[in-house]
Amino acid sequence: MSQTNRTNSEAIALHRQLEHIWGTKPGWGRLAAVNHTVVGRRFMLTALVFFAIGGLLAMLIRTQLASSNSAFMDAETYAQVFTMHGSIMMFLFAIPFFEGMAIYLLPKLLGTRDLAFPRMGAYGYWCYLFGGTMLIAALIGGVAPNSGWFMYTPLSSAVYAPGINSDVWLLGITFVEISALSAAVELIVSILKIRAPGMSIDKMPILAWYMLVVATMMLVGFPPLILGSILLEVERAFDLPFFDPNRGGDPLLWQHLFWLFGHPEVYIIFLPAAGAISTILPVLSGTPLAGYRLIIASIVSMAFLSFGLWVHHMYTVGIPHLALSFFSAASALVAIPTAIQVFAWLATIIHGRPRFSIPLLHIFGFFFVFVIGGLTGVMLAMVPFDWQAHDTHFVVAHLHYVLVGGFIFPMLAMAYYWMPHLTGKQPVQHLSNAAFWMIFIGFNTTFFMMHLTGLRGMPRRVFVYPPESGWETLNFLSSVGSFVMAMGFALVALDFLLIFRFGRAFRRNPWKAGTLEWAMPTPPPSYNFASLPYIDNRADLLDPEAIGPHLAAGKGYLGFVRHDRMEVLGVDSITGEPDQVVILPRQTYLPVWTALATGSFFLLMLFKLYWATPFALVAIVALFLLWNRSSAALEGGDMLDIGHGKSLPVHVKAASPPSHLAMVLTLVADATLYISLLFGCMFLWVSAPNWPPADLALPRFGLTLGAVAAMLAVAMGSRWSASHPAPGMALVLAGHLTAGLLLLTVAFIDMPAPSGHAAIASMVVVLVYAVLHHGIGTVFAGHALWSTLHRGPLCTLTLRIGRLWHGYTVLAGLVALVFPYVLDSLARTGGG
Amino acid sequence: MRHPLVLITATFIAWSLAFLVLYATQATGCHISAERANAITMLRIVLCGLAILSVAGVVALARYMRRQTFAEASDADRFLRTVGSRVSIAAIVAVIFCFAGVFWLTPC
Repeated sequence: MSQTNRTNSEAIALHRQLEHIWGTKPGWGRLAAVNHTVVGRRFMLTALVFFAIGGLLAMLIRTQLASSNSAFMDAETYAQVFTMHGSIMMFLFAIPFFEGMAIYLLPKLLGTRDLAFPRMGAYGYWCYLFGGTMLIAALIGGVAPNSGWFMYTPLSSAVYAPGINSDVWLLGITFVEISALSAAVELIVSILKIRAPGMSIDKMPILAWYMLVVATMMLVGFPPLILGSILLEVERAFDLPFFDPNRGGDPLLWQHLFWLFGHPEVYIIFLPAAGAISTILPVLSGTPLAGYRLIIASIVSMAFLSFGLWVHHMYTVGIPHLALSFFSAASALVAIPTAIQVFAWLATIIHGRPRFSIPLLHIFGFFFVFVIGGLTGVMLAMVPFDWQAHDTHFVVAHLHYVLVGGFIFPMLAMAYYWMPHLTGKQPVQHLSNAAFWMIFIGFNTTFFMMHLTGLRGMPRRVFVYPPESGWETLNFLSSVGSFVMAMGFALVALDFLLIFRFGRAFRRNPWKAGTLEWAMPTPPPSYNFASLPYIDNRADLLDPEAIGPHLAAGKGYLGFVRHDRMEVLGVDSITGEPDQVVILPRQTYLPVWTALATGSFFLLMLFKLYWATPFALVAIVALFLLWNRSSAALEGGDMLDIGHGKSLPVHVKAASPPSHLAMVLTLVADATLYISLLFGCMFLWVSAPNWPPADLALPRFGLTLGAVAAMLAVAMGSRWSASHPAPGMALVLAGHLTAGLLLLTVAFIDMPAPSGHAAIASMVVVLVYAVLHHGIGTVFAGHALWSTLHRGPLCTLTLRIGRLWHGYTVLAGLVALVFPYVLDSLARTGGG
Repeated sequence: MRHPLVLITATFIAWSLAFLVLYATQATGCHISAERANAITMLRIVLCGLAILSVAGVVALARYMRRQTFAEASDADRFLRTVGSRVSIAAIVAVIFCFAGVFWLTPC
């Protein structure tokens, strides 16, 4: 496998072999695609379709509000339209679009061939598509969610929303969130572990830093919303009263859980866009990014601060001044790291020689609109002002200035910037200028007026207003502006079509960028690079013109094909030194089948066919177990040649394989959900009326003791399995089964009916959480035992990953057992 | 504590914990002290103590992180130290600014 003296024909043969292995197959084979380029493009394209639907709904809203007492829509239709507009834009467009962008771009920027878990990416896409389709089908069927995009209880509870509208939101959005969480795990692991050799953490491209921070935020930001959705769905379906104040629940619990996700979400949407600006702007300015390290410190600080602001959406609910001050201070502080980035971008422009171009024009749009949105954000962070402007159109205007400024303009900048990469064609720029100005003028006309209607007292979400309110002229102007903006977006779509059809061809790197995505042919081949580069400089200050031909000739690492395997290199997360060969799974239909099974579970829940849901769950588990087949085939490999005289172990034998890190991250998300649940229950004790319940009961001591013993058996068996796999796993299996059954008995036989009071419901849900984990632990242990008995000794990686799960389950189970005693004692001492 | 990525985030993790502890103490304190004499004064003393502890803790953690030496520091180590120090400064400002209100604002 000599890589230094290849002939052209050998290099061409290498490309053909790689395309044969990595390429997506035609026809039905497209459903089996797992390649990150294909999945990323699908995410972005689907998100744009949802964006068009959401935009159409916005036009309906503006048509309704253009005149007073409009008869265009009735109240119910209007409620569905504005709820779906917000839900689509936030959940089905903004987050999935940047997920798609990251999935498409990151491996290319990091100098590798794919992400760490291609099947997970494909599964995430199908979940997103099916979940989003559920919501759109409900809209067409006239049963779309109608309680606003943040679904406040009790408006969304069964009493005031008895149809399936709220269920569609709760189940559909949770389905989509699975996609977001899987993307978060995949992105973090890929950024930390799957990079080009030599790319130490200080040499990563700035976009990778942004995405690392964002994916980490998603990992801990999404579980509270998933928990909230589960609790509200459980209340609606099974009458467990978490949000019903008559039975010890509290509607404010929903607000806390929602905004614990909802506020960081704004930064989760903004930061990828900011990352794109930090990538594009230095290229267009012809100078390196100013303040690279300061920007990284800023985004890390911003990520933490953004979690300390959630109550600034709840200033008017009656929280004491002192608590408000914590959140108000954090809300004001978060403007500083944002400003640092803005000043760093301005410094980059000043130090360089900016080239006028369409992406730069959109970045100008971003600066103008986002800074105004940021300033109104600081105004709203101040409690006295917020009390005046709360729930008015001023807030709606601020939200749109932040999100359109912070996401749409950067998205258009990146679309024009990376369009040559996606299509292999350069923009012709005949329509691009006009489209920008129509969007910019239309946007400001639409939303600046809303600041004024808001300050004049117009509440959000009203479907009619009286002529004497004085809001009509401003609303009419706002609606005119919105139609100008919509025409601008239509022009952008037409512009893209024309570029795609008639754009100019180019050789390589049209923007003279220093990032690795331009060191490959465009549109990109499925394997990105015929061989992998060694990086010895910061990965946005490279020379793609020189690197590209070298890699295309197969002169880098892994410049060959081995056993028709899809191979990439794994590296040490800090030093970037390669430490393993990661063998990726081939194209498979499993992701789409598993997503269909997952979707069927949600549909069965939606149509209240609860008796059938266990079948769907079994199908999901069985399909996931099939994913493991290809991993088993990797066992037994020795050191593998990677070229240039180096050999590395296969990932299943490496010290820190990607899947181990993925399990750690999954447990972090899982633990965040559990902690949110425990805090939520404590919150009810502190805040909800009608406490303590009359019939609070504790589990029988014998059952508790038995469950503790079973959990200890799990812990011991897990440890023992390292030296004695079969008996060790048998003990783990028995322990999980026993503990699960005992906890189930405690939850449903020892406890009074959970529908009676939120305290009992809390105890039952905490116990059910532990039961579910023991159930999954049973599957893990059963599968490991079966593999040991039928395939021989398990690889250490399987055991290590299993140990993580078993250990966490024991910890969570012990907490669940102690929880009823703690809640009982608190309720007796301080409740009521 | 010595993992390089922990170096970057440790002080803000401390800020997050302090935030949760202070918010939870304030809410729980107000709940259980509603009908008890002098309880509010006691709650303020506890909150002031926690706020001072938080500031001291974050400052001490930042100093500890700064003192961590690398015998043969690579570019990556130096990079992480620089970023870590800047994040620590932000965390110290955050912990002082966010919790200063405990000294004069109405606790309940």
